[in-house]
Amino acid sequence: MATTQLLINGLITGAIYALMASSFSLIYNIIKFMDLSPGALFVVSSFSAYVFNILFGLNFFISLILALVIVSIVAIGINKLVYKSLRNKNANNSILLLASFGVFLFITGFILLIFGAEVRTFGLPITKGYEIFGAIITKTQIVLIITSLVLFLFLQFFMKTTKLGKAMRALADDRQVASTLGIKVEKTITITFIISALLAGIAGILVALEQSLDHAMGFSVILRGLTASVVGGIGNVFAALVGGFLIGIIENLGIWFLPSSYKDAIVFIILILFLLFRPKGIFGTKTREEVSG
Amino acid sequence: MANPKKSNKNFRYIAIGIFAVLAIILISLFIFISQKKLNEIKIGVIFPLSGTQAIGGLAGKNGVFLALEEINSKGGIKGKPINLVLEDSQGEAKTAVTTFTKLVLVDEVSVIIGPFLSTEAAAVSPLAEKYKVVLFSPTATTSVLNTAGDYVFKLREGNDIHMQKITEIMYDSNTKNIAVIYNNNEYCVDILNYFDEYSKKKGIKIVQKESYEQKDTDFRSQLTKIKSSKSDGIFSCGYYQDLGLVFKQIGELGLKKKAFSVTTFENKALIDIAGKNIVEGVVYTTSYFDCNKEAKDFCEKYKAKYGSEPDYRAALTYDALYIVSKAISDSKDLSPESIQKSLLKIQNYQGLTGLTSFDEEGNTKKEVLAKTVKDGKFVVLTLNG
Repeated sequence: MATTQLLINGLITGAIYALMASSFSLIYNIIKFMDLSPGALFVVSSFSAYVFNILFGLNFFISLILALVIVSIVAIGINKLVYKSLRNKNANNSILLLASFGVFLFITGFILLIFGAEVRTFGLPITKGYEIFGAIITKTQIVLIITSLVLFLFLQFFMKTTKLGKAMRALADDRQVASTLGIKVEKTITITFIISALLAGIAGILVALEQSLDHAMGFSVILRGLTASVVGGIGNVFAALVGGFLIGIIENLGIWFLPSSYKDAIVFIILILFLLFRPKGIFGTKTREEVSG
Repeated sequence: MANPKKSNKNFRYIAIGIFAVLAIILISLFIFISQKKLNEIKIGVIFPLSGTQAIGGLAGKNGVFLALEEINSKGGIKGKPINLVLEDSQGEAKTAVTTFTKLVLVDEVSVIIGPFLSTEAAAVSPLAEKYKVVLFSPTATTSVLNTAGDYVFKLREGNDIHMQKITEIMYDSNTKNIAVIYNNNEYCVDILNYFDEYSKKKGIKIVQKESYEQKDTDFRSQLTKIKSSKSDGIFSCGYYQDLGLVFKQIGELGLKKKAFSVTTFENKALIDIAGKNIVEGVVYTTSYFDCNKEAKDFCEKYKAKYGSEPDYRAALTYDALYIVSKAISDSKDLSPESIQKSLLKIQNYQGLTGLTSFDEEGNTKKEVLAKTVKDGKFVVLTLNG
């Protein structure tokens, strides 16, 4: 009974990690650098939804859409103002990574400035959840897990079948060849950033609904999201999903046996083990450079 | 064409000139202000005015400024008005240390009211001893301050008294096996040390003990462990934002157990996060303060001035300024040494939060109050009801 509860707890946290990991992985896969800004977009979207829904009193779904629009605009802004000019100067991946950390600090600092550090909630009525095999899960949590899975299926479908998705994959393979084939590189990059931002944005709103929101909520999802994408196999969106759920479940089952203060330690031990023994992750394949080199 | 080198040189002269004039203006302004301020008594205040603990810090600020208004309208201390130099610790120990150093080295205060949180006070207290400045914490309860040195004073009773009281209530309500969930911070670790001690004395068994970190928001697995333990009650310790989520998730998991908590539980924001129904009936202990008794006047003035109900924190900071100014007026000069000596002489000071006397370590023993939540409001716990 307790085990099913822990598994469900793992699925709930895992769903968020999976969304974040897909967001990181998508950018890494296509634009080839580790972008931390989804961590900030996670916070931006939850605060935007909060402002529209609670402060302005708009309908929840309208607030949700507006929040996602804002997140997309911010993502385009970050790309145009920061990453594009750095790319034009031939900045390498570590510079882009550092810049993205700067973006993360700037945006979360800005939110802190406007909203302060109070913890806020959407104030959804709290009810005892449904019972499944002796474990309890609330309606919001079910929505959270299902949303994560649906988004993932949608993303897979988009990448495999649509023209844009194919263009993104072509770009991931070889930017120069893709450009010669007539794929608009900058446009495709922008769309990648938007999709990644939407994933992080939806994760942010889900966490805000399910728990609470504050300016500092982005940092821990960066750590967990990155760990999940490394464990799954970086640069692979399906792997990120598996990694996310895996980390969520191991973390929650782990503290059944260990004192709960080891929760973070469990996650990072997994990360270290993977980096030492299987740096490509569960589903990792060799990259082109490694094959040819 | 002008010689670029020459124009550069000219520019440099102009810049130096402007700087010199500015420097002279600033220095004379500084001398003017500092001379004017010689006629007032500066007291430093370190409260968390922003950050997650701002709700408490702002209540404390209201309390201390109400006392300031009253004291200064009666002529201050020996005819000199008090000037409070207010600093924001942001609820962070490291910021509290920075603001402390600023108050001591730049503002040169002899007494500081604060810091507010146990975590902050524990970090600052060694510095108070080093610089020999009186540190008067109105709200911190951690036992680290008990032996922190001659210059560190604590207006509130220690965590030991709270734990003695809460374990008595557990014993009386027939709670034999208790599960604990706590925030792994200075305040709660100290609370837990005493909780272990007093629950043992009362024969209460701790069957499950779970901790979490300050920034955590997901406590479901800890609570799942507690749910499957054979406990008949939960004792929780943390700050309002994490405790709020702990209680919310207790409700979601359908954990129906008697719940006990600590002073920091009393925070309206916690009820907003957790939901009214879940926190109903939670029992906790807090510092003595009663708007119907000796604090009646204070409560009316506070409501008129700030438009909200005062809490124990506002009452404590109000008392703190009165006690500190009494000590300053009894002291022969404004040096920290003599203020420290005259603070130790304070016996049975009747304030809003009961009688205050300091022992030689600068600690007080005061009454604590058991309270509970009834219809979403914090009320004094009455037996049989």
